[in-house]
Amino acid sequence: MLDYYALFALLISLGLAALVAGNNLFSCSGVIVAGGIVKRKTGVVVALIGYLLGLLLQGGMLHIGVYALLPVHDSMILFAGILAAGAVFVVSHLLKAPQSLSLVLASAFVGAGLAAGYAIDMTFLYLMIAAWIMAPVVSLLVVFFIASSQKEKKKDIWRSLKIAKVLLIVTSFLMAYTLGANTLGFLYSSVGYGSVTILLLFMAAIAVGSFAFSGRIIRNVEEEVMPVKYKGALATQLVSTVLVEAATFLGIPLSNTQVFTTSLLGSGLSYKTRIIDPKALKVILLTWILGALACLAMGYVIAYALILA
Amino acid sequence: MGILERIFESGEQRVIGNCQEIITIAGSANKLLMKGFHSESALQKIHLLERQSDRKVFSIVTTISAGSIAPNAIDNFIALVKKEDDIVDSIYNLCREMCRYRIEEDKIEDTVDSKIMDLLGLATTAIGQLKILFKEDDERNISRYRHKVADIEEDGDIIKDWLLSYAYKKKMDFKSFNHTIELAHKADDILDSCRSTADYFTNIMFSLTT
Repeated sequence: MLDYYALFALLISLGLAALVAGNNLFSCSGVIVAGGIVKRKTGVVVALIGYLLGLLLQGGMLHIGVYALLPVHDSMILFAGILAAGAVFVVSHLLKAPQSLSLVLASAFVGAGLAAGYAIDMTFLYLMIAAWIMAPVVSLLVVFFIASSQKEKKKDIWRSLKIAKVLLIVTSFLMAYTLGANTLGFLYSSVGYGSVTILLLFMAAIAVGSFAFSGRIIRNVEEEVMPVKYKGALATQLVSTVLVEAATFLGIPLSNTQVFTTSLLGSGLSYKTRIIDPKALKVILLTWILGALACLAMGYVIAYALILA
Repeated sequence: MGILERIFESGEQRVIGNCQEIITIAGSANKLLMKGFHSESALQKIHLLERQSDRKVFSIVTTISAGSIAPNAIDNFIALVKKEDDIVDSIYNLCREMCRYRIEEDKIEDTVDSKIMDLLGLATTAIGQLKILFKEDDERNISRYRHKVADIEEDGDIIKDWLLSYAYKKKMDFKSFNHTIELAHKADDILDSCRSTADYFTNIMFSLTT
């Protein structure tokens, strides 16, 4: 039986799951839709299948992370964390700043856990922070080197193009899979780990979010993110997938948004004539840092207020 | 169109295939002009080809805009198609100029005609190279054929310059002088468009898999 805190936490989580699924369509299927490889609806379906399979097959792995940050299952503390994360995530979304749900949710859990006096697994916390710092740096460097590597003259351009297109569909699916396993898995593990009903509710919310926000799939890629060519796009998606999947195995919530954005930056930097707006980069970086700190503080304050009440 | 067809029969390849038809039209128009120097019937036939090319361009641009090409390549594809159409337009413009006026002095007219014929001969070679180029998907060969078209265009510039100098050197009335200059420029326009077409094609092909 759910209490009110658990119920509200679940409702907020379902809303966030829908928003995350819709928001990340551009990073998962944006390139294959914008590149004319598949139609928009097909792109949404590719991402949706990826999200659902990732959540279903590996979503539970993030329970390790939830348990490390919130070792005691108390629906009030959980609600405080999810409310704080939800508020920061929605505000960032309204400000059109690319915010990471994994980052704000984990930070809010730490804040709420501290207020409740939980013994947070510090080794895991340090590992998670290290992953948050290292993963974007690694993705930027790896994608930069892949994208700027000297290419050999191609003998069969049409064949290479077809192979690149097929690979892009695969990597788009894998990107969505890792998002389903990691970010959505973290959210699911925090509110309904082990519950089939809640898992089904999450899957429904993800499907609704994917189709409701499918209109953003092109706009985001063309207007808000640097459009990359096939080679850069492949490298970006592949590196993001590998890093997030590795984090999933360790139970670490790792932001797809962060890794994808820095991979895109690496790809963008590989073009000699590409101009990158440093102001936009500062905004992205500040959004991440301030978002995490704000969630830490808000999670603490809300949990403390609820305990006092 | 099914998802597999969409992936395996790429829109880019289909559009390039359609572009080859405009090159074929240009080849036919050039052939007609060489056969029917100063001929009204050739002008009419070339006009029909020019209209056929316009229709083809419209149909290709519609296909491109319908979403068969990656958005970042659309502009280059449209520029390529327009440049191909420019080859046919230039041939038609040259033919019109030829039919519009005849230089009175036979010796001068023969010299001018022979140089224009040389330029059209170069255009035939350039169009032939473009036909081969459009069937290529090996980057090395693409570079090779592009250079060949560029070399032909440069040879054309030399003939054009000679013709301009000739027009200034010879004593002729204003209409003949102006006509000679116009012919030189219009014939050279054909080769310029061939070169630009080869450049656009190369840029597109090289950027496709990067």
